[in-house]
Amino acid sequence: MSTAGADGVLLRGIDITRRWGGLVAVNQVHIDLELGRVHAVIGTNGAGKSTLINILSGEIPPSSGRVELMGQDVTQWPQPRRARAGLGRSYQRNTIYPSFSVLENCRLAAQARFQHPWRWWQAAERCRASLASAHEAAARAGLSEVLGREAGLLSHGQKRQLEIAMCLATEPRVLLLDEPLAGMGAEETERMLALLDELRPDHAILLVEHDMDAVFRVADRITVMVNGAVIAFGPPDAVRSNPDVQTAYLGEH
Amino acid sequence: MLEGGGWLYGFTLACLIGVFGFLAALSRSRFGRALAGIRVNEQRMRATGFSTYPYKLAAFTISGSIAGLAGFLFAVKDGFVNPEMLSWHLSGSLLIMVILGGIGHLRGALIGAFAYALLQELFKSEAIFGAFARHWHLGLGITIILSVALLPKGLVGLPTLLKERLIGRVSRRAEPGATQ
Repeated sequence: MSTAGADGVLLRGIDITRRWGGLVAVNQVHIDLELGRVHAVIGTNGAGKSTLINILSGEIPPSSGRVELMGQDVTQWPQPRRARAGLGRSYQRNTIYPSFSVLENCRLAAQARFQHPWRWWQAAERCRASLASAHEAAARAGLSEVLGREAGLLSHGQKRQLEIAMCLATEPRVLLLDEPLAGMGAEETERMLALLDELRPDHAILLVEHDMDAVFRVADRITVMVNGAVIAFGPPDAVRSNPDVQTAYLGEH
Repeated sequence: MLEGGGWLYGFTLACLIGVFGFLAALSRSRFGRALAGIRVNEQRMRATGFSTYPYKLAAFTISGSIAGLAGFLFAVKDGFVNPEMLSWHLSGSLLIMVILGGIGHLRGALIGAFAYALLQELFKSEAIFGAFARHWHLGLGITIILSVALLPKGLVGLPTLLKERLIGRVSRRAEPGATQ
């Protein structure tokens, strides 16, 4: 395992800016994801949260700024290389493979670290390492009971859990979670928050989420974005009492 | 090089078995599973850590090589090739074979190829269709359109379709008066 920077920062975004023509979607954003902390990013729709995740995970390049993963400049790295270096992300929409079984979804994700594509004579299931990772990830996400079920037949909450399980199967150090609670019932939300608590000690987690109650319960640090720029940052209590945040965002409740 | 039809037949059959075995193993391997994932959601595969371009390039290269082998066998069979074979007709009939058999299954391509060749011979046969055999394209075309309309999953999906129909009929008989 690679080591974190001296200050425990696993992923750092430095002065990240993204322009789409004349529109500045993300404006000079600085963000530090530390080991053992859940860092939430909140903001209204169109505030640039998803764009920020896409830049950090390498899906789109920033117009300017840098991304550092465990102290190393990865701005020029393509997304698959960042993923193999320990950067996992989940998507807002379900991106599971509906016709595969739950276990196969996880196994395929785990296979990313043991690709060996030239071993064409060996069945994929024979790779014990990826199978073990898949079982462990499914168990952590609470899917051990439904390993054999076709992923497309799962309930919505279970699909969201599988989304996280596939992310965990790659054994990342940094998790970028894009609205993991979207569309979940109260009970499913509780289970997901418990999972986040469980993952916290050995991961650095970025959480983009609209459920404010959940965010203020689970987050250690909160960044508030409006129109692409950060207007507030700090521990939940400080952010909650920040007058700028109240006028810009929370006051509208 | 290969004298006599029997020789060529045996050699072609050996090639078929070899390629089929190779592809069957390939699709179960890690390479094959990764390709299946890329087909469903390439973006997710990239986010998971797969550099998808080399996978796609390899798949393209392998399929090209197999098509090349088929072309070689075709040339040996007829003893010559001409530019006319580059027209879309031959490529089109290959696509029809795959669609007829069932897309997404290895055995679908095989079953489709046999079915296509058999249907072609059937409609060409003057003993069965008499003068109509001269218009065998029509009969073949209509059969293919019908099979695509009635068997969306191809011939591979036929057993499951029949099973469902049969079970549906039995269960309808089991609860008489349910609908009437």
